[in-house]
Amino acid sequence: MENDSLIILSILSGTLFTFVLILTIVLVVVKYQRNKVNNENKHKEAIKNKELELLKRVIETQETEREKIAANIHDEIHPLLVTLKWSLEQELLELKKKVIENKFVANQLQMATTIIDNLHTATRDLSPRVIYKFGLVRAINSFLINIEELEVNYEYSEDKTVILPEIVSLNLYRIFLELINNIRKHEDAKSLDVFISITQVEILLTIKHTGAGMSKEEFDQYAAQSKGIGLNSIISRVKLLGASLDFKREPAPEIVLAVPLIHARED
Amino acid sequence: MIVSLYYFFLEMWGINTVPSIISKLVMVFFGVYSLNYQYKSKQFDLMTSDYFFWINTAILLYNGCTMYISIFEVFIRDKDDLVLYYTWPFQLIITILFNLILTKGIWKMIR
Repeated sequence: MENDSLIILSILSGTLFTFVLILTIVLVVVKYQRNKVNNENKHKEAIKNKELELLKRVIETQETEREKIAANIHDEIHPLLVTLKWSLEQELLELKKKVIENKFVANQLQMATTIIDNLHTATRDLSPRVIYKFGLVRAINSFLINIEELEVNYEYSEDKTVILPEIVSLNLYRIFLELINNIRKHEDAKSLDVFISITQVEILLTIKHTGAGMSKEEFDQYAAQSKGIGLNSIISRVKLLGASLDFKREPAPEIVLAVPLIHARED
Repeated sequence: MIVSLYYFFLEMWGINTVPSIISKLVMVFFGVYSLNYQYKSKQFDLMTSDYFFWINTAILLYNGCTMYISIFEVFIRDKDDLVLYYTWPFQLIITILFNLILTKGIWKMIR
């Protein structure tokens, strides 16, 4: 009888133990899975927010570009055209009186030249067609030729068999423009040395100047603090190209941009 | 269905608890395996929102708990009603729980 009680007790306790064990396993798995799902969802949400932020920045950049072009046209080309029109009207009157002077025509010619130059700048900002027509090396050259306040030295080494994807050329060109504009605005440089090397594996762009320069850490710090479009545009484009951007202050201020080409081709 | 038919024919020729225990063990193994599979495969949805989780839990709980009773089935049948008096409520509770969880699973499946 005592033996029977012991067996009954072992059956009941065994069953109870199994019940509790299975229930615990199920509850623990459910709890962990819930945590995992929450973390995954948070991660997903963060990625979504980041994408939204990126999209917002793209739209903002687009709007700023449009504003810049509109400002270029409104502030520089429009007044010149109005003046030219006014001048032509005056001339028409004088033509009727038959008392036209040479200096008026020379002024108008100068004005027309300025308008053409401004239009050229505006269209280059809008879409650098020179890249599509003549390639990256000549586009950079074409941009550097127009810099008057700096002594510019440009060298390149190009593997002619390499055909750069348009996205690489365009983004690299935009990064280059932004970097040069930053040097012109903030560095107080007197001269500029630009070297670009295009090989089968990578594009290496080196910019040396005589300004104050900055280190990589300083650039990262500026970029983290900056809400401006310029630096963010550089960072976004560098990320897009899978490139590396390095800043050196010693021995001379230098910026090195390396774009891997195998990665770009695989994409 | 296969397991039920197997039990039915088995009981016709006498009591043999070994196949029953083995089948319950197999069910428990697959229950735990499915639970683990669900844990790994469900990335963005809670596993409790899936009907399969409830059916699996019901099977796992029922087979795991009754396995112990199955081991002593011969002893329970041979002894007087006292043993049955104590073990029967347990079996009953587990069966009720099994049916409740299974119902929830089926309800989730057809909803």
